Amino acid sequence: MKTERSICKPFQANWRPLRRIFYPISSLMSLTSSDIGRIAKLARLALSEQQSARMLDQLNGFFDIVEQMNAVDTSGIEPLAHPTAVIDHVSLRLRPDLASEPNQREANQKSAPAVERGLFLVPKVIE
Amino acid sequence: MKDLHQLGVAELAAAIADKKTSAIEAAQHLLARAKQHETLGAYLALNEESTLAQAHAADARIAAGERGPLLGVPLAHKDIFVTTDFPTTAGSKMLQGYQSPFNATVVQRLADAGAVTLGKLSCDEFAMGGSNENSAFGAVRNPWDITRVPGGSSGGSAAAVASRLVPAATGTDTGGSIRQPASFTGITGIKPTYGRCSRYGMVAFASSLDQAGPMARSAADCAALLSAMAGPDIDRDSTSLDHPAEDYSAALLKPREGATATQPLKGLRIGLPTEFFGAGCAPDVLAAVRVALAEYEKLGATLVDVSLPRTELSIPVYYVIAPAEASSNLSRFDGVKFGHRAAQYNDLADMYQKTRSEGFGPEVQRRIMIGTYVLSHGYYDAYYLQAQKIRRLIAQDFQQAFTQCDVIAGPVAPTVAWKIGEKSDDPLANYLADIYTLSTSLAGLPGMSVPAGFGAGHMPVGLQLVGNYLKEGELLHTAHAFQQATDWHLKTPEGF
Repeated sequence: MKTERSICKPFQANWRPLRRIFYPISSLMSLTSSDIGRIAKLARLALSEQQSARMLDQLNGFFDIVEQMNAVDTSGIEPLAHPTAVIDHVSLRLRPDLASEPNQREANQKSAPAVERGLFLVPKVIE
Repeated sequence: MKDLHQLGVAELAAAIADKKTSAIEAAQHLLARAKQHETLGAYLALNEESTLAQAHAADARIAAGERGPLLGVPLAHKDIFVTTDFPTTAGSKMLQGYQSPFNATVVQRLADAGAVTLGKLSCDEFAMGGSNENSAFGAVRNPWDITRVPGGSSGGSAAAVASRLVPAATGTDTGGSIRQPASFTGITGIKPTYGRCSRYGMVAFASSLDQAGPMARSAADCAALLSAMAGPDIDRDSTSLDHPAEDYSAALLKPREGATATQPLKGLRIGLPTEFFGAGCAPDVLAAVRVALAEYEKLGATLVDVSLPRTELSIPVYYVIAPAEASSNLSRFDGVKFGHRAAQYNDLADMYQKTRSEGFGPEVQRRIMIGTYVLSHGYYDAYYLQAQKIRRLIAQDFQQAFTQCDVIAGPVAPTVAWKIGEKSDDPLANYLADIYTLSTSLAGLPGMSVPAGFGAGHMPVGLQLVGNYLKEGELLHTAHAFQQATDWHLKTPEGF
């Protein structure tokens, strides 16, 4: 059975997000290939042309259903970052800023791609 | 005595304690069985030497007079928990061959209780998926029909328990990854309240949602595992709830107030969200769920209609929040400190890009892209912040529903397990299939899947039960009462 996809339809209404006016992404409802390039760069992913085209289609399909969030009136609602806040009515704990782990340099570096004399090797950054 | 692989956790623990068998014999039997059924694709790693050493140690503890509900019992872990004795891949090429210097808290607690680790079980890459097809190491087959998916992301755990390769396994659930595969394979699984089990040593996907839980054949066996797994881990997980561990096996057996011999659930109010019983759910699934609910009525429970009006919204809310957190968590995979590094690159930026593009599979890359976008400058408020606000409304909807009922029930997924490959090119279809499990995860509530019969293609259907915060004991009790009256959880796929 194919799951229905009509769930995003009733929410098209008259809502216009501010980003159409203020932000550089070109169209309201859909991303463009240059957006995909920009996001991939931020995410440090190298996508081939074919992968980018596919990603564009899939992300636009996805953001069609995301748009229904915009129809929800959330004025005065505090964002919920973490269920702990409603379970225990506490914010996240901080522990004392003290070293609690033993030194395990060798074990920790065992799975590193390139190590020399206990140091992680990376390509030259400063000429 | 039955073959060792036919015994559940409690039966096997009793047989070992009574010297009818031993931890070493059980471990050897199940290691052989794991190899015999390799084609299921459930295991990603075995380490016979370590398993047998653990079994010997358990037998020594038993010989010294020690007894315990998990002592000598073989288990296996979803490959998202780090382990010192087995490689940990999280189902990703990015972590192929990774050796953790420590054990996850959940792994360590089960080991301390005397459980013997058989191996590591396949999962969707970084637990992202609902079919186990996103594993970099191949699909896992559903033992009820090997052309179908076992569900995901804890698909290896579900397939291994259902095919009697292991009496119980660990899983993790971020948006349904314990409940949905349990439903697809006819086993019992519980996702506890967020924060009940430590996340320390669980490869992070979405930190405000990830939660570990047991998967086994019965609620009673899940209770035995959860009692060992849960409890505070204050110094190592800042979201670990500071509530003492509980004995869920005792909670399971404790009669409800007002219970009678024929009506053990007398007084229990089961809420049915109208949104879970609409046209979006396949008729075969709904039919099985309704029969299960009628059984609950016979057991004394009352069914009441409740509403979770933002059920459909839970899809975009979840698929904004979870990828946002994932994009942040997965930024650590840069080819420097651990994991894959590209062989050829020009400079540091090029190394990052090539490493990540080679190491991450398509679904993980998709979610990183979504997450990066919704967190980026200019979109944070419209997407991420708005999703977090609706998340609070969703949590409030549940509290409203719980004023009318003690437990919420409905289907776990809109359909039974689908064919391998059927949805693999359609990410959105996969996201929509999570509709009944996401809201529970967003609210941080405990939820479980209980075998409730069969649907199309003679594939298992699970009944989802959701409880209020920290009510795992009540949930397990409710599931156990059902399993005392039905035998769906005892059904075994043919050939296993």
